Amino acid sequence: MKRFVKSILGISTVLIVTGFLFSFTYAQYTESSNFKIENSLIGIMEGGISTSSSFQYISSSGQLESGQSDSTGFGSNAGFLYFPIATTPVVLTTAGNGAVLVSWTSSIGTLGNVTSYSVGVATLISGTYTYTNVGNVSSYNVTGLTNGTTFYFKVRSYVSGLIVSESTAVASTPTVSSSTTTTTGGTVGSSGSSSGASSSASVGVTTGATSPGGGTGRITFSGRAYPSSKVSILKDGTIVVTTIADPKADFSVSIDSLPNGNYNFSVYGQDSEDRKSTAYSFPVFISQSSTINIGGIFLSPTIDVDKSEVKKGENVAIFGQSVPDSEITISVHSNGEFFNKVKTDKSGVYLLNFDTTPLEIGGHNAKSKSAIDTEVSPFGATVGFKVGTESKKKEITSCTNLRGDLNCDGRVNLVDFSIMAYWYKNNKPPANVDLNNDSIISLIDFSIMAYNWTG
Amino acid sequence: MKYLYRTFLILFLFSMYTHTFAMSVSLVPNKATVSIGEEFYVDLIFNTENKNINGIETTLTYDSETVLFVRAENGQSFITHWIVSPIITSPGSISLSGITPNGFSGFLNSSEIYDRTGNISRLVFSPKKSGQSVIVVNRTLVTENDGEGTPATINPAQVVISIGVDIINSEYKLIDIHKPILSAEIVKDQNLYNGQMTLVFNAIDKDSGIEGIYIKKNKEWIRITNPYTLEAKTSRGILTVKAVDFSGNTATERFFLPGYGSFWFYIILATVVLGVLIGFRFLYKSYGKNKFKKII
Repeated sequence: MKRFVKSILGISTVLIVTGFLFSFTYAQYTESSNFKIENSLIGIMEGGISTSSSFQYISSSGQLESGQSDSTGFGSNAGFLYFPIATTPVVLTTAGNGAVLVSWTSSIGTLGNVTSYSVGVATLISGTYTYTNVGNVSSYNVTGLTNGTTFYFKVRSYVSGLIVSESTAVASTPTVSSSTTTTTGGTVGSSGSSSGASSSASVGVTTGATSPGGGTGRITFSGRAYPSSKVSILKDGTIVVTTIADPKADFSVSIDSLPNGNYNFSVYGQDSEDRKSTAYSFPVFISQSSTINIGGIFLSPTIDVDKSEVKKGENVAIFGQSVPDSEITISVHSNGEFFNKVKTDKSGVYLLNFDTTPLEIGGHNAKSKSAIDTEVSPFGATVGFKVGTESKKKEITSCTNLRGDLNCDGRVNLVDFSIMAYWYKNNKPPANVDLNNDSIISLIDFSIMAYNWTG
Repeated sequence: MKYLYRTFLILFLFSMYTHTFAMSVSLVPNKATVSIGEEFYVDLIFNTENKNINGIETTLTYDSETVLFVRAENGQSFITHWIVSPIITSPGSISLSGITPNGFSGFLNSSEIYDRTGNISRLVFSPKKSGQSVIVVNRTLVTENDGEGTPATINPAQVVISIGVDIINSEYKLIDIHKPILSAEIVKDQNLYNGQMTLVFNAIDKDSGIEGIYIKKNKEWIRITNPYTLEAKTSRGILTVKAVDFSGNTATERFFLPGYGSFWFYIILATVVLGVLIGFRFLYKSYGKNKFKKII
């Protein structure tokens, strides 16, 4: 029995290893006059071209045996080289007596799971930061700090020891008794969140929310949207304040007089063509007399296409708006994923004429994200188009493209919610109310509406 | 055989490594043991485990012979828009469903770590007779905030409450000093609600929760449900709406109905009327009764 089991496991292992080997041995060799790579495997996941004055090298190579291939001119490490990226954690600091509690949201990795974090502290926003590896946790109490001195904090996330994201700097001043909190995040990057936020507004929340006692709080949002665009802040699903971003796309807005309690804030922007960004939510607890700053918000680019259907082999224009002079990564999702990069102009507008030759007949989606300096936005909403036998211009309908805008007023809000609630679990709802086309209004329809909610 | 054990150990460790924690619901009572007539509450808690969700729908069952469902307090809830606010649908069964616009994955708490859990509702019960009472939250449907409403099912959970033989009549009451927040709109559109003027509303109270929404009609407050179809002539074009929480705090808003002019129209009209009256009074005082009569 023992020998039989051992034999089966041995044979299985040999088969798996053999299959693995065969799956990689179809490649040919790659060479130039300067160097040669045998049995190379070229796989472009996301990223560009590695280049120098003497050679150009696209993506990575696979090598079946460990060790380093090298020469006097270059070296190549064995194994699958991957470049994981991750969302920047939202960081919150709470000043204490000689200490600051730093907590953060999980960083979501692509091409790898985040395995640990480190917390950096400095006395200047520009550094130098001293980092402490804190493991895979979501808070860390920095002690031994001098009361009355302003410290700056950053949080880095790691995938197997590789830094994949770094938050913007968050200031906090420990005092004997303090309840000031500061939050940052929503981007990948390290530039100061407060700098350049020249467009600002402030509003007091008064409608039915006055607090006879128990203290009130203040919350500030700042970040990047689109040049001279409208940015809306929602509190529990209702717009409480809007502001206009400056020509560089920076914005800052505050809400005062918030009674203690849990709030679900969200932020979205509208570009020059009234296309709306994906909303980002920030559920926070406002404690007595607390001040919360949420900085480094980087709204994802808006996106649209010029054709609802494009003839295979012809171009489809993918366009939208983001921060001026930023780099836009556009992902076209088919059976595989195609990545393209374009630059935005001075108005933040980008355009990609995408050749549909490699796409199969059928439906496809495109989405985009933006990067400037060291900050990277998350991917935004997807836009769909078909590849077929003829090209059809995307028609501008009388209603908006917003799913859930049931009364076609350009917003998804209480009125639309009320209309959908009227049809809840009713048979034969109107087609425009039945957002997932399953002939009944269920929680899924409400969920689609909630995702697109504009207040 | 050692080889086999080692292989299984490796597989087990691998499965542990790849295991991801699942979303869950739980019921957390303020007391595990109560007396007859002593109100207690059970918090229905949702753990997102870092997932971003925006919709929830579930039912709870309880033994209606041993406990009485008193009310649901939604003040601490992360659900802001209720499709069905917790309500008894049949004896011993409570249903609820609602959404959080733009999603919820946990609260950033300034004094604690990032909290992945959120309160769905606080359910207040009153024990009727001694014994064990089991409250169960059945399979729960949640939807991810991904734009497609991807559904996920959450496993049931339960809590057991021991009810003693003593009788202690006491009410559970949360200290609530905040006014509710009322949002409402009047809709008049030929394509909506059969073209009738309709009031749609949503109210939030951060403490005890909303007891009800009322409108003033013939000097009396009438409780309404959402949406509410308005009569053609309501209080001469002015509609007063009031949100009341379980502690009696109120928030009132007035609306000028479509077709009766805007708010500023009424302000300007009132200013003009007041100005004319002051003018007449000035003339009356300046010229006396007889001259004033001649002037007008």
